[in-house]
Amino acid sequence: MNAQRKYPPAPEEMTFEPKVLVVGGGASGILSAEKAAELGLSVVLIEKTEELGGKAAQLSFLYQSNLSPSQWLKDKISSLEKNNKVTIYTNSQLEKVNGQVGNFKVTLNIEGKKEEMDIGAIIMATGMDLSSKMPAQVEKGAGSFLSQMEFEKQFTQLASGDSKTFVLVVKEDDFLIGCINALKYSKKLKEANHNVYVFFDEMKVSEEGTEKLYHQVREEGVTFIRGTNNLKIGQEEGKFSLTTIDPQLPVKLAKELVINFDYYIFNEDLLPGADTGKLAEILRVNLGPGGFFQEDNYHTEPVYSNRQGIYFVGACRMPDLLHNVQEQAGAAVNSIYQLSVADVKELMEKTPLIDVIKCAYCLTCYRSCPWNAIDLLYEIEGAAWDGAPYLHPLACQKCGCCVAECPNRAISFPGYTDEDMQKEFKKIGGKV
Amino acid sequence: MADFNPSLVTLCCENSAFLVAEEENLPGVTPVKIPCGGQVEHYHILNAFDQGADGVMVLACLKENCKHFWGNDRAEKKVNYVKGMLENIGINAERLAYSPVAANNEYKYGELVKEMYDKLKEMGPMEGKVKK
Ligand code: SF4
Ligand code: SF4
Repeated sequence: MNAQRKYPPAPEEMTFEPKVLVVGGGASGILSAEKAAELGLSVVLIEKTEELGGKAAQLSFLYQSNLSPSQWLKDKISSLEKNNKVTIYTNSQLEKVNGQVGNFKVTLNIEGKKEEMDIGAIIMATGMDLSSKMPAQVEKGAGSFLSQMEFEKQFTQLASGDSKTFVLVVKEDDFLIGCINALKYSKKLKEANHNVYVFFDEMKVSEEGTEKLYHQVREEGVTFIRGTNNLKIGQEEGKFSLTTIDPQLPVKLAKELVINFDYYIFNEDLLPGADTGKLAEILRVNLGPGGFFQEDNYHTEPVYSNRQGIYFVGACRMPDLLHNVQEQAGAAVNSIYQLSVADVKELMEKTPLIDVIKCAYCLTCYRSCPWNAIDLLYEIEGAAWDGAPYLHPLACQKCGCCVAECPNRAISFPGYTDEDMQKEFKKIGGKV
Repeated sequence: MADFNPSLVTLCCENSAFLVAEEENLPGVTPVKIPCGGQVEHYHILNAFDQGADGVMVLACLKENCKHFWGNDRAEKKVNYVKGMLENIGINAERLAYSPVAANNEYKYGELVKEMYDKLKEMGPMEGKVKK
């Protein structure tokens, strides 16, 4: 028989591997890797395509500054490549995750080869998918209809020349990116003396500086028209026109408005990345609204998942602007740091503990833990069934669900044991 | 039974109801802190009755607002289960109740407790109470 382990493991055995796995090499992954490396953690950055950069590298400009996003990311990538704390694998994917925070056993698929690693914490930065649908069936001149992402790629070319007419249509969706893109385009286009019409359902200007931008472009002569539902697209001799009735006007005043346009720019639907569901299964985390990773729990921080040591940054949790993504990366890395320096011994004293003699290894606790905080240990000294689950002190949130569900009442929760509860109940009716 | 003063135990989740219960010091009511609705065990509910409570309320967070995702749903299920147990041994199941209370809703806590208290008053002392 093998040497048997003591239960519970000693606090010294609970080490925290100072290594972070960042999944996804877009802007959010790059920013997360950068932050983690700044803190002295080693970083493994994996990207499923051939090169880093993601969607942010395709943007032509930002509304906040004159910074070129692609150049900015290129600088960041080359400094990550030079950093010896950071290992970058392209064409790689996450295959399997075992263990708990501090000691995840992760299997990666690196260019077709499987590799196992010990990882302390995982940052998911897998981004989003875009889906665009042409607003109209046209026989020729389909090049006049561009989604925002396509427009970004050819912006300089299309914005040259003069007095073209651009129609920017922002259909209602849950995120503010469509509106902010339309505002930033209008500013540049107006500067180049083009005619700009913006059709929108809700102008979302909650980000810093965007309301000012909205007023500024309005004053400069961009026409804003509310309502995107009654837009009729007509085609005559290779020219396109848009007919609509301003729904905000009283019926008596409402007249048909006809705009002859050269380009029609529409916003895409922002969807969770295609493998989000599969990754959620691998990581054993819950999905939030709309199939994104975002956890719908207002008690926890936005970047948190329902497992300690797994964080969501960037568009995979919710499509957001770059400066917010930067903050999220900081928040995730900060939590990793705090976990890595946490006092395990003190946490252990508060964590519920399984009595290995009573435990029948039925795994009810394992299944009922909302934080998936339970590790499975084997070859435990004195255990009735060779091993027992272990409530990981760093991962456990001390909710007591497993304590209540255990059919054999094998788990005792410090502070809420039968004796502690009995003591409370002694106060019933005023008798102490 | 005008002179009967029931004793009520409220098992309150520390994330919501207990924050209210601490403030409201109601006579005859003993708030007991629990870490989450999910921690409620039938053993503890029965123990409270055994220790002389005439009624027990389990108070957890509002639906879909639980810090631990399903703790409140679990508590509700468990309460329904224990109600069946109570009925089996001849105790009025109405003596046990589950309600969601938000951390900032002192009014609701007060109302719920008062309602339960009045109900208990009408019901009289616990059927199974052993005179010691
Ligand atoms: S106390 Fe809660 S978080 Fe901790 S292991 Fe048990 S069920 Fe999971
Ligand atoms: S629920 Fe109880 S008996 Fe079952 S595995 Fe967990 S601790 Fe052991």
